Amino acid sequence: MNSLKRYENRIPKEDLKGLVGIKPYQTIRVNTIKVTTEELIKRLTEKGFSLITHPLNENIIIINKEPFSAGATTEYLAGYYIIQDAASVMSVIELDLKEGELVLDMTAAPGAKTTHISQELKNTGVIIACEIDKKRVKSVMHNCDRMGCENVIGLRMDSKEVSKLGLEFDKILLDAPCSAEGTLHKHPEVLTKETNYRNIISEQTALIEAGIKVLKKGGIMVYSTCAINPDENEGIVQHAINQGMKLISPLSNGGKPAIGLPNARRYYPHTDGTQGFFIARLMKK
Amino acid sequence: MTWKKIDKEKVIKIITRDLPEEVTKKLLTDRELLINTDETAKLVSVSKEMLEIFKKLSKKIVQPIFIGSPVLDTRDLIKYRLSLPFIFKASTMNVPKAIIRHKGEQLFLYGRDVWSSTIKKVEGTIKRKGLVFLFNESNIFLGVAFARNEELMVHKNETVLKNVIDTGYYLRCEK
Repeated sequence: MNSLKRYENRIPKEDLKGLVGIKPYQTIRVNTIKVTTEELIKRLTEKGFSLITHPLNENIIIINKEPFSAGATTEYLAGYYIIQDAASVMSVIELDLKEGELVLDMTAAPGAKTTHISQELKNTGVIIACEIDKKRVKSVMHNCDRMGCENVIGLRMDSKEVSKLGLEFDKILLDAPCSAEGTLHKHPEVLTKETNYRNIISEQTALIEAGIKVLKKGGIMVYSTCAINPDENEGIVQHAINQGMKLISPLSNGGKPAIGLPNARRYYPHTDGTQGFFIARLMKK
Repeated sequence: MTWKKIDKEKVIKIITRDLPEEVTKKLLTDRELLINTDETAKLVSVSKEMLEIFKKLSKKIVQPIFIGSPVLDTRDLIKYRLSLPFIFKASTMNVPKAIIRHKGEQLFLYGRDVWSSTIKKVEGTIKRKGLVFLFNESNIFLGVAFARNEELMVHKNETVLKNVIDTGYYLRCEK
């Protein structure tokens, strides 16, 4: 029943305990294209929300109390924020985006990270947002529209074929499809459902290889998952290192060193108040 | 799905039916326009950098599902609707505005029209059948409506603003 047991010899016990026993903070990311953090906190506080900024980043707000759903305010509809886990915000922060860059988001839906990339680029440069599922490309589009993102090109395509575009990117985000065991507070079924880890890992491997091919020399790729399985995280990063990528230090102090790869980071509910998450920052030599 | 470049001056002229020319011109400064007449039925604005990438993609026969910032929902430029992201930007400029009370706001965000009794304040010149930009009492943009009359705050309680598009659309399209 408890699939986490399979990790008992590979992941510290306190981390597995934290995943099961502690609920992450409910957080929103402020869309600085449209509003400042101070103004948004003021507006939502007036509506009865109790909020504080997250220690990981000043644009992440923890909701301590909500009089009604955070997804049902006029501020939400106006695109002032998006509901997003703090660790997932950090994966975009780790890209260290600069205005004017060409960025690839390999698995874009539903668009939380795409809109964050747009925000960090201050609506300059170009983002190629790939998503294989037609319906889910539309969810990226609606989020981009709501959040006022003007620099995104949404493609319905399998990112494993991204080299066909003939483009080379300054930065790449690969938030890979995964077993999602880090989200079991929201999706307890991940513990009981049948998961084909071999297929997931083979997809992740193919995606990172495809990403490496289209990354410029000296370019940065962030690899992230909401999995806790070392084979989906450290294993894939090790594969990228074997392909000539260099694992570089994270920009943030958040998370704890990954297993055997101290420059990569693991986030947990008990360490950072986030879902279980993995982030590695890689540079093409 | 094919996107084609379209003449900006032509589009500005058309939008002048609904928005002052100087507002449209300002919003489209340094932007190029593309139109998709297929399923997507959108006219969008893109930066010059985006246009270059778009041209490279077109050579590879890759057509985006979406691109840039929507300006109009249209197939033919004859019938069109200003898109939400475009009117959101226009709402920060010199356009006719109405501030509506909480009850009117709630109904409007469900796609309903606006009753005169829920209008708190009107700013700028309202024209009959002209577009009015709606805000709530906290000054958050809610959408646009057509004015049925020049006078919105009439004593008789009747619907005076006909909903064109509201930000509640974003929730409705999530379903």
